[in-house]
Amino acid sequence: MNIRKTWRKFAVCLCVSWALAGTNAAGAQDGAVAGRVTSTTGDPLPGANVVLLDTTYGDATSENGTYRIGPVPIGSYRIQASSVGFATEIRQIDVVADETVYVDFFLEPIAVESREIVVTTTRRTADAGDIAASVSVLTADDLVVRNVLALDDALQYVPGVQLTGNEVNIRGSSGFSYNTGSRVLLLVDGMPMLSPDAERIPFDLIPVHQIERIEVLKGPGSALYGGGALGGIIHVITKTYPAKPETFVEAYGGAYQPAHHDIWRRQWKDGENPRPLGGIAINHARPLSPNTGFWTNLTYRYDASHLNMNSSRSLQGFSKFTWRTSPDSHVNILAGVNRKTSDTFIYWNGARDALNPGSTNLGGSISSSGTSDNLTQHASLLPAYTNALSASTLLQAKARLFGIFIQPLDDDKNPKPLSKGTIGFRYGGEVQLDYEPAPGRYIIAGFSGDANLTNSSFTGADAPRSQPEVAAFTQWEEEIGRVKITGGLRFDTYRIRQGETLSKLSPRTSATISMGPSWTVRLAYGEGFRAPSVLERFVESSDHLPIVSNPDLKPETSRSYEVGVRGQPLFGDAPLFTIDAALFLSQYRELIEPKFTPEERAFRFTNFTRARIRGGELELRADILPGRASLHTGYTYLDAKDLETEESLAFRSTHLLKAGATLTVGPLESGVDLRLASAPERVASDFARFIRDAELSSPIQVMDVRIGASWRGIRATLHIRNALNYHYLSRPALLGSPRHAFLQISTRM
Amino acid sequence: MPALLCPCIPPASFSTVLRRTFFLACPIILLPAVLTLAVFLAACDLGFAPPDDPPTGTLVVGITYENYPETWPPTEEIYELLFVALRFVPKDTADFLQLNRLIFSERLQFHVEQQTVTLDSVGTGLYPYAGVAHKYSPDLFAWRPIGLVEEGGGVIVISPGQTTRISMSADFLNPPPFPPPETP
Repeated sequence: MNIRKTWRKFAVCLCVSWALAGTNAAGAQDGAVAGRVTSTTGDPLPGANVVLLDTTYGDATSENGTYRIGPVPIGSYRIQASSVGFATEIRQIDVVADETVYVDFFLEPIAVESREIVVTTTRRTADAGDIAASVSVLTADDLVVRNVLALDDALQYVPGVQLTGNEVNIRGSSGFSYNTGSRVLLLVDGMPMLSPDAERIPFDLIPVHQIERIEVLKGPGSALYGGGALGGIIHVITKTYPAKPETFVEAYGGAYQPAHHDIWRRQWKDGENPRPLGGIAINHARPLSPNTGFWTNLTYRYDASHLNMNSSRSLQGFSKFTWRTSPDSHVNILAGVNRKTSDTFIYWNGARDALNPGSTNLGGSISSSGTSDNLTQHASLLPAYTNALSASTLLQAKARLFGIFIQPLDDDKNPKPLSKGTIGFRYGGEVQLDYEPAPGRYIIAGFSGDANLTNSSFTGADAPRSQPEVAAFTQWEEEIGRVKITGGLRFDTYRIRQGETLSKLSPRTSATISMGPSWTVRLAYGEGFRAPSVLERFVESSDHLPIVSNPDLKPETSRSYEVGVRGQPLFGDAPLFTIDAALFLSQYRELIEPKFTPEERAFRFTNFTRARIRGGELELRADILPGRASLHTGYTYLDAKDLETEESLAFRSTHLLKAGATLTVGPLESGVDLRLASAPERVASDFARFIRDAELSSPIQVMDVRIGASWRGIRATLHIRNALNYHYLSRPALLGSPRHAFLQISTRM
Repeated sequence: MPALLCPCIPPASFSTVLRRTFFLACPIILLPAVLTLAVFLAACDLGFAPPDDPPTGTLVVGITYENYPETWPPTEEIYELLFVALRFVPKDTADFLQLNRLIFSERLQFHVEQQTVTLDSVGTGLYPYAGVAHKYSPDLFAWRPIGLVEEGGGVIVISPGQTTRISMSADFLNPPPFPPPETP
């Protein structure tokens, strides 16, 4: 978009230059054209293009919407005014000698799809309408205007996605399984980035300000990316460096309001007062040479939390370096570190003492606390090389190194040795070849290899430390008339123990049928799987509660069917809104959860059930007045059933509704986001054996409000999160954030 | 004199009318709908609330150790000693891990003949299995009863605001069978 804008400006300048150059030759037999371009509501439209058609004369409007073209040779012309998001207008005019013809334009806004509609999660770049899967996209603007702090914060705004504590639940795939073994895969620039120890999603890995967009693929994606993509994929695409040096500074600060209920506040003295949160982020990006550039980011955040013993502070540094080695190839290197000290509130001391962590006394010295203090450090390195070998062949080679270091803190908040915690590395790479032998035919093939190395105080001394994996994948896309058919296959092999491997073949097939210029129907079938992590299979601990290993854990598997329709109904030449509707059915087998097994007298991770989740989703987006007013809403219905007990699957909400609106008037901007979820029909957990009131659940009714203004490059926004101060449980025994407000100030230089 | 062209707008086409209708409909219908929903939600309630104070009573237990002091094991063999009352009859020591369905006292005194234990704020209702529990090794599940409440058929009834007094005996050398025999 920036390139187009720059090119347009350049073209307009060229036109003006030519027009000026023509002045000398034309002499006195010239006139001029001037005027103002506004919207039908009277707002000036800066940057609109006004040109005399079939000539080189033109201008771009100024801040107050005015333009002037001239000198222009006398004669009859057709003059055109155009601006993104507005209907183009053309008039007939006569330019007479020595006079200025005044022409004002009142452009009518049109609703256009302002979202990023390009999707890359399916291993190739394509329009969202051509993808035979449900994909929701969050753009950089979506993140900035909401002052999104981390990835999990962003995902709350995606229809069909629910966060149960810090587990991502796409269309009911995850429920709540104690934050082990994510059933949703995280990709960063196309590379899987689950943590090496417990296959968790590291939400703090990428600084939010450097995210270009987040794509959420709903449904199994193992045929594309292998294990982990059982319920869906979150793909984070990072920004590249801009054409000109740019510095962005943002600071925010605010506080949590004390909880509404007096009985909660009475039991925690500090809970009587507002609890602060704040942070600062500095980003700098610049080209270093015509072929190289970088961005770098430094972020510090502090959050005192609305809960006792749940504060955190983090320092994050991240950079991306790009080198265009030739017109057809480039190298990207993404690298970063993150250091976070946190108390983690695990469970409360009961529903009547919800702000304090509980404890479980099993007698004698055996007790567990509802909080855990850790120093967690991440380090990541992702180099990638892309080369267009020919007009029809693209080669991509990527690698990754992801290290995690977790050290428990002692009573004086000093980190204990790493031997008391966890150290883990995930490393590997992949090569992918894209080949387009003919228009409408696209073939992808590649292979990948990954390994992880984990040393944790939570695994037995004899446990394997690694679980290496190799995979090969291919995908064939064929366009036949209005129908585009895609077939994909991926073969994964894990070495789970010496001499023992686990293999899985994941097929995928889909079709999109174009029903005219505005509507696409899609049909999709896919399979997913997730191999249990080293920690799930080999955990051995009696530090708190007894947990024993289960080396025989089988992988979780899923099958998913989806039929959907996506449309941008045209009224005249312009689409009014985008609508996406889907019906889906997913079947899961061998789901893994920690269960208490009396015969073992301990917890262990167990393949416990088969499940079926079916439902529907409707998503609607409309930019009513482009750049000024927009609406979005998404509703998801889930019917999640445990097929062995015939009960509802635990921790799934039947109804999910996300809605939001943004309104901009001059320099003022306001917005509201609404998240509603019905209470889970069932909360069944062995957790409730030990934790008081852990069987309770609640609906979620959260409304976030923001109002802000921009002035001379400085933007100030007041955010009020959970403005209704609605108390809810974000997962069993954990109270969600009450109302909290903060002021965000940012400037771009 | 500058020529000023009339900025007249051509007659609206069907699509333009539709578009205008849509633009008007959105702010007029959807925005108030969102606001109405928000107000509705705000008026509803404050969401999750602490449950009402559960009705409680007080339990006073008089414990007599049989054949004091000979039957007491050495202190190092007593890893824990508690009075425990369960809301269910256990079938396995693993059942003791249902912590939310039982109450227990502070650590009992060692090497005494008699002791009276008072438990305040005990949830009302029935406790069909209660007694003195002895943890005899470091193992998490190394618990055994050394005496059970037998008064009232072995069932303790706690009434709101009332104090329930019971007596029981315990004997380290003659513990009751565990798990308890199933009653027909």
